[in-house]
Amino acid sequence: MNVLMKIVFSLSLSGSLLILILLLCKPLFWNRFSRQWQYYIWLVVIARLMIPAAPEVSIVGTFFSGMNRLEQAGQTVLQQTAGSGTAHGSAQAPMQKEDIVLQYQESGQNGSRAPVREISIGDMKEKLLQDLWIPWLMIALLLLLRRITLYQGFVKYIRAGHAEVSDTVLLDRLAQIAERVGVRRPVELYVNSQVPSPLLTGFFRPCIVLPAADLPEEDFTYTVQHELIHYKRKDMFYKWLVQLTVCLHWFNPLVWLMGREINRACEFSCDEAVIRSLGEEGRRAYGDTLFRAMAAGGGGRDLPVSVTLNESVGLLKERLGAIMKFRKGSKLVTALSGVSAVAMMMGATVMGAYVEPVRTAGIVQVVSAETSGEPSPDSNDIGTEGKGGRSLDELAQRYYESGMVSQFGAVFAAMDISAQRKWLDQVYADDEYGFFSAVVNRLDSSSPLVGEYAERAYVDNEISYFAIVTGSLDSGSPLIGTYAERAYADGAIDFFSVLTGEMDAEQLKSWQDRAEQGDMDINFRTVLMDSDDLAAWGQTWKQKAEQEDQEQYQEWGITREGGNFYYQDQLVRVFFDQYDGEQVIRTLQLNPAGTVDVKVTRSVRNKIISVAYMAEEEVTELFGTEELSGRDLEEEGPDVEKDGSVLKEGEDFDPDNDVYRLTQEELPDEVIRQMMDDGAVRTWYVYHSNGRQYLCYRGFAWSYGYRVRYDEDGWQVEIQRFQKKDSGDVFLALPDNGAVTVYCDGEKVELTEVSE
Amino acid sequence: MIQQVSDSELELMKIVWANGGSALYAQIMEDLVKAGRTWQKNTVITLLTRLVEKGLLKTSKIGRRNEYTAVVSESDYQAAQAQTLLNKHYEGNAKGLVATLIQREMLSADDYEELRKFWEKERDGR
Repeated sequence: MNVLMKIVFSLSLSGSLLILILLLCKPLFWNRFSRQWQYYIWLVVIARLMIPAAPEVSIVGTFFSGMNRLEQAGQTVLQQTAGSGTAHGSAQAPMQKEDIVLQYQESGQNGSRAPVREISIGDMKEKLLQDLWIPWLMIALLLLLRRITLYQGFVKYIRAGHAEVSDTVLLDRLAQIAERVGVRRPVELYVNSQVPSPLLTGFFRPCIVLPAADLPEEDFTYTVQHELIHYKRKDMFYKWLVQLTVCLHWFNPLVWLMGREINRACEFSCDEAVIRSLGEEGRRAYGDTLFRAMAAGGGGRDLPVSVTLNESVGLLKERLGAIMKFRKGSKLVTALSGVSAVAMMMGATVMGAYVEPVRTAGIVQVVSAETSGEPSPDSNDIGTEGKGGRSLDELAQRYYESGMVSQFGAVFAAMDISAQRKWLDQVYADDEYGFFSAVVNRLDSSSPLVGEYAERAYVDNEISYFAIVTGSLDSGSPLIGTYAERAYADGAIDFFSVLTGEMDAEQLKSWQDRAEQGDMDINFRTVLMDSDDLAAWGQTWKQKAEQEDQEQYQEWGITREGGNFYYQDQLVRVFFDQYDGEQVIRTLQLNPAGTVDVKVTRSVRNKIISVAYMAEEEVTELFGTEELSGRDLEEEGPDVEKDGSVLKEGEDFDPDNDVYRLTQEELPDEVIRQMMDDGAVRTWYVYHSNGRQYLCYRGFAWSYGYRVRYDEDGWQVEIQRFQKKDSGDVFLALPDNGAVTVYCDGEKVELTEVSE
Repeated sequence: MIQQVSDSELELMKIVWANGGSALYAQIMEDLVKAGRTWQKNTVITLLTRLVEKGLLKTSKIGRRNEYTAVVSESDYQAAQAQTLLNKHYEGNAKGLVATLIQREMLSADDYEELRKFWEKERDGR
């Protein structure tokens, strides 16, 4: 349904409830509350009927939002009825619509029209509802126009037949009454034998028209006073406001009833104002006046909007009764009527209205708009180009800009594939990791977009995005096998690592077999061994590998104690272990206290080919510039690795094990597990395990040196990048006796503390 | 054609004419009091407004005060009123009017004599 109509209907409904409350409560306050209260309380109702504002959660607002959902559900049911005839039911709403269109055309040929007609009727109904606002507005305007012209005609009619009252005695009396009532403006006085009862016209220039001037003085006084009070209280404006309300809510009989009630309440409260200052005698005289006025006018009829002294016999009877029953309200009644008025206003607020859904009901609204579009014979119209598609897009835009991830995801799910691709592009280009994650997880795993974005992230070396895409796949999906092979072939160990987490048992087994055959890069093997499902196998392998490693080093004269390497019993300064010709560094460690620089070269199969001293030039080349070479590091600052004296006094640590660099394999198992579970690449983590803390950063594609200081603030770790590498990690072990602060190239980095 | 005005309205017109064709509201009120009238302020304003509507007065503001100026002079007004009288009751026949005046002794012998002299002089002058 059209939003405008929803607002109007909700206002009407909300107002109707208030009208009902007032009408039902009328016997309660009729003779208790002041007539003025009974007159002006309707303003609350009018405000509710006219002002389309409401708190976010309100009775009627909720009701209408619920209607939205019903509408949508109805549509879905209709579409499913139609969809059951077709074999290919897609989850995407726009595609369903296309199906329907196709079916419409097909069935048009083969004659089985039953489900189609249902759709057509549903859509026609929807279309009619969409356009409902046009007749509504037309009728409202016509009614209003008619009232205005009627009033104008009436004013003209009484002007034509009127005669000025030139009797200055009457004019003076009028002026005196006006002064008493508080009307400052001069009031014009006419006599027109055509009017059935005294009345008041003119918004700004008050003009009283009497049926005759030769009234008893008493009658003249009361009549004029009554009319002047109408003017004083601006009843004309109130009446026209009511007219406007009735015209806009012309379809609501309760609003018409309200109009009548207000007219009566207007007279009652005006009478009240006149007799307020009168005694019993005066009241009786006023009643006489009313009665005589009616008798003179012959009962009268409903005049077009103007303020008349009397309306009809029935009303007059009530008025006369009310006049004689008049009592001044007690304090209690005054308080009670004040409370009731506040309650009424609160009621009006709580009733609320339908507010155009922007935030809460937004998705529902747009989705219903999407599904309710008429099936056009030209199916090209449908999709993102259609009306619904555009608004989905706008909504997505809004959510995207305001960072509302889950709402964005919901809208995304309702889009067709080309719109989804457009948004994925945008999110990916903007590097909106959170949105990407939310959106990809909404994709159907059979969507071609999954494959497209796996490829894109892989090619762009965006491992975190790759992880999201593969994470959305079913475990053991063939796509995972394909990319695992590819990552292995490309030596993309990090991608391979991500993929092992998504493999099913069968896939893992086949990789394990390959590792067993020994024909595998050690790093890949490590990844496999670290995967949860192969942990037991990995444990044995790891021990075996460590032993082999140790044995191999020993064969070549290298020993390792904690973080220190010794080559032929000399402490090594630069220990450089690399794979031959691959430019892949296996271990690069710098210990400024060392005296020799050693380079280990090994085959891809992990067999050491050679161990040699490094020439000074080689070290310089490795670390890039002269100043970053070990010499500088040696001279600068206390070196914790060697000098245990900087450690906090009284702490008992093995100096050799204070701070050292380690490989991923050397990390404690639980640290590796945590890192694989939640650790992202290119992020600094501190893990705690067994009285030590481990500073870990994966994807640190540099060779680096580090310097450590311990003071009252804890551990200050400075990391200096030397030379670009293809890949690498930072793993440092420190005693867990103080907070860690890390500076990389002099800049403090953000650390993520991971507690066990 | 000049619209008919009520007696009270004419009284106001006379005050304006007596003031040289234009008068401030305050002057009008003052003169009314002098003439023994105790009309309410709003009564006077209503009457003046009616005269403005009938085209006999026009109103202009001097500062915050209203000044009323006669659109029609007193003699023009009288002529128009006489014309109306003639047209309405004597079908434009002035002789009939004079006859009535004499018959009803509304015109004294002296008045008649003066009128006759005036008339002869007028006729000879032509």
